Amino acid sequence: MGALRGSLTFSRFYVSGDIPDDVPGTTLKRIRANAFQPLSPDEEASEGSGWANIEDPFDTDLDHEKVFYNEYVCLGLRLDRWVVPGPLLKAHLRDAEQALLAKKGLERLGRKAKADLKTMVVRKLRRQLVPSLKSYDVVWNLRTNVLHLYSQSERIATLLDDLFKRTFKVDLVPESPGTAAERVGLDAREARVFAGLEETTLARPEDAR
Amino acid sequence: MELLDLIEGRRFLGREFVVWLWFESELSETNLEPSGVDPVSMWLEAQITLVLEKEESRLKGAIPASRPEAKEALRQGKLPKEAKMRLVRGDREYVWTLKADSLALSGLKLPTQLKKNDEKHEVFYERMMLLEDLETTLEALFADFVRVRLSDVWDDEVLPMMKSWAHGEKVEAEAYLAAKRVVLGDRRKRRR
Repeated sequence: MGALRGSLTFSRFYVSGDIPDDVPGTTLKRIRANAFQPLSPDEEASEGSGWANIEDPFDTDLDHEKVFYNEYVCLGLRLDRWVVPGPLLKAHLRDAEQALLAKKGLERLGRKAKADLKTMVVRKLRRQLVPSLKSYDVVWNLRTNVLHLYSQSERIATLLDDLFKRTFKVDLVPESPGTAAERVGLDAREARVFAGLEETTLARPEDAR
Repeated sequence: MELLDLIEGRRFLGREFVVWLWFESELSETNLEPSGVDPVSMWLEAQITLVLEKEESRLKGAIPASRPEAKEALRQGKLPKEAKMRLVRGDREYVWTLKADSLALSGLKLPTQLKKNDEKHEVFYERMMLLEDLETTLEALFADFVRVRLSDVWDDEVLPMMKSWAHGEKVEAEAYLAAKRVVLGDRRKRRR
C-alpha cells in the first residue's frame, strides 16, 4: 500500500542540490516532459517508465492540481513491461521456424535468421498482449526535502533516481544509517571517530565457543 | 567519505541502533526521552531477526526480545537486522517493522482518525502529518544514539552496560542515564 491508503512500506531519500525556490512554478513543464509514454510493440525496449497521476496511473496528462498538494509533490512512478509468457513464445517461435524452413526449403536456420525471427514473433505477440502495469507512489515534502518512495525494491529506487534527476535536476540521497548519521551534524571530533568506527559486539571473549 | 562508502560501510550502525533502542526500552521500562521532542513509550514486539554474518535467529511471540534466546543471540555476537516496534505518544500509537541496515520502515500502521470516505486531500495530509511526527521522533532517537556512540562514554560506560544487560546481569538505570547525560545533557538544554 502507498501514500494514500493502507499501511505504509517505503524507502526514504533526501533531496539535495540546487532546489528551486518555487518548485510548483518551475517544474511542471519538466514533469510533463517526463510523463509516462505508452510502450510500442515495435520498439526494442521491453519496459518503459515515467510519471503518472498518483491517484490514477492511467492518467498521464499531469497538471498543477494533480501533482502539487500544498507542500507536497505527489507523483506515481509508472512502470510498464511487456511480459510474453515463455511457453507461448516458444510455441509461436517453433511454428514460425517451421513455416520459414518450409518456405525456403531449408533444413535449419542460421543464428541471425533465428534472432530476426524471434524479434518478429515477439513483436507480433506484443500486439496481442497488454503490457503489465505497476505504479509506485512518490511523495516529496518541499518543506523538509524528505522524499518517500513507496517501494523497497532497489530496482525501483534506481529507476526513481534516474527519472527524478532527469526531471528536477537535483540529487537524491538514500536514507541509510551512514547518511542519517552525517545529517546529525557531526563536529570535528565526532567526524573523526565516525570515520574510524568499527562494529560493536555484545559478545565477551569468554562467549566464544 | 564517499557516498557509497558512507552507505555500505556504515550499515552496521543501524543494527547497533536497534539493539540500543531495545536496551534503552528495557532499562527504562519503555519510557524513552529523545532530545528535543516529546517523551514516548516504545518497545520491540512480535518479531525480531538477529544476524551474525550468515547465521540468523528469527524469534516470534508477544515480546520475543524478552525471551532468553534473544539475549543468547546477542551473546553470540548477533545483532538485530529487523524488528517489529510499537511506539505510543499521547493517544497516538504506531506499529511498524524497522529494517536496520537501511532504517527503512515497512507495514507501518498510522493512528489515523479520518476514514477513506472523508475528503481525499484531508486524508492524505493527516497521513503525512502522522508519518512526519513519527519520523521526527525516530530521527531524534537516532541522533541521540549517534552522539552517544561517537563519544568516549560509549566504550567506557555504555557498551560495558549493554554487555552486562545481554548477559543477564543487573544494570542500574540511573547509572546509564547519568552516563548519557554527560553526552546529551548540554545539547538537550540547548535544544529546549
